[in-house]
Amino acid sequence: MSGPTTVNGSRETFRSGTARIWRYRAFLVHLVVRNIRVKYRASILGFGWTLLNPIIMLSILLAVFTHIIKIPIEHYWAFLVSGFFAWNYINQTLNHAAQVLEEHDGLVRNYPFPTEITVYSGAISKLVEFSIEIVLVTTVLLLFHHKSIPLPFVLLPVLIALQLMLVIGLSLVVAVVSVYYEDVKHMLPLLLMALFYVSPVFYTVDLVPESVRTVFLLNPVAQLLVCYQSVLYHGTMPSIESLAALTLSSVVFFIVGAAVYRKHGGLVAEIV
Amino acid sequence: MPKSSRTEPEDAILLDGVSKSFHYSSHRDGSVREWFIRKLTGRPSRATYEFFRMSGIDLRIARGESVALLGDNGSGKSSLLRIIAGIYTPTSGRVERYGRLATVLELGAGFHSALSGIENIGLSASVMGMRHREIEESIPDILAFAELGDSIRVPLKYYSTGMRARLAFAIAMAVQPDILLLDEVLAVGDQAFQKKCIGRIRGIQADGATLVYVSHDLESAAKLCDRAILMREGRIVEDGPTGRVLQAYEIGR
Repeated sequence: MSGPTTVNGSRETFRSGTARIWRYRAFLVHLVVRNIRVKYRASILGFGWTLLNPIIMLSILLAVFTHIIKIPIEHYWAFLVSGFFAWNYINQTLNHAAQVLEEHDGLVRNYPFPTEITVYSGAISKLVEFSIEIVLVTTVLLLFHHKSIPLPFVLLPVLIALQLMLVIGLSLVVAVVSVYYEDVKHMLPLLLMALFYVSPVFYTVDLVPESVRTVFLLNPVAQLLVCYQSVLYHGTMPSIESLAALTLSSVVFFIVGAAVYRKHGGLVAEIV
Repeated sequence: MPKSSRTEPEDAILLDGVSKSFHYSSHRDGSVREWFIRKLTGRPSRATYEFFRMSGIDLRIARGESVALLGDNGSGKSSLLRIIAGIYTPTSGRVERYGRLATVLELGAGFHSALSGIENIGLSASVMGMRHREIEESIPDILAFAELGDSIRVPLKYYSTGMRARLAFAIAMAVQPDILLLDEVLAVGDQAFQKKCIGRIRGIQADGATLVYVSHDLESAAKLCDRAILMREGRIVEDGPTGRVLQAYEIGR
């Protein structure tokens, strides 16, 4: 048995907060397993739906940008798949974050646990789907695009880890703000649409006018996609600048997100 | 065990000058409009009302004590339970708790109706802090106590309230809590199950666990608890031996 559990009082430090989440890791695992189970239990296609949705979206983009608006990128399909799935992950996870606390309201209102775990579980459940997608994308690109195995592919797990940190940081903010302000649910799809167009999903950074490129690259999602495209499409190492910018922004977003949640998440159980 | 200045180790629960305000905002949910008003005026906008307040709550529950929380609907019993549990953060004051906690506040609150009984066990047990191995080891106990037979493999949406209660209670008991918080959960089970629950609660009481029990069933409250607390409008108005507090409650009505 341990010492007293002080329920309120002094503000949690980053370390004590992290330790509290770590104590509930079994719960996090169960939550992720449950999310995945529930999602695919009732459908005949099961995991197939995970793929079908982005593949349809991908086909539309591919058709539009190779036949209607011709974007001057060689092997455009290979370029598009290199960044698209990471984008799709960010889009879906952030949209989900806006409702994740409501989705788990029964747990949140009745059990004392760090409620940010619901946000983590959302991001990790979607990461399981993303991992399957990225394995498929990698296989297809190795077979039909590179026809060899470029060494920089070993960097993929690092990119995925940074992507997870970045998205969890953003999701924590989205989740807690959504509880206080319904408006977020209306605003978020618009913001994400804007983010889609200012991130190099279907075009390259080279096509961005040089005068705004510095500003353009302040967007961490842009840096993430640039790194994915270096590895997956070009088969080359991302530039040190891109990698450093991505690492820095992922860590900063994660820490800021965790701090925002810690400051404002205390009332979630009674509002949700 | 580390000692704090105010809490002796024999305390299980300590509430020191706890108060809690609950607000709602008259504008449908929170909105950006309201946010602007607040920012511009620099104070809470008029659209926010305090609808309930709990104040001046000092409470000390010793280890091994069993306390019934009594009071009419809306008197603050369940909120107090949630403050003790650490689900609600008090507006001011201090809450301390010693030992492992299990709660059954709303029946089957953590359950997912599309999943079977057995699939729901892991999540509900882990949200009370149980580890993977502990859960694995306690599954036979949970199944034996819940007595759901083959229904344990059926999705929960086909369960009756009583069946959910059996499962929820069985999981809470598997935690082997030092502190057990129960909110009006025995009422839905059948006689046999109620008896079994009371037997089990007596068992953990004998082992030195602390119980805080919210119920409108005064008979079971009297049976399980030697101390009772009467709440009215968010305040503790009586605190003492169950018999006396029950009397005060009856008279006060």
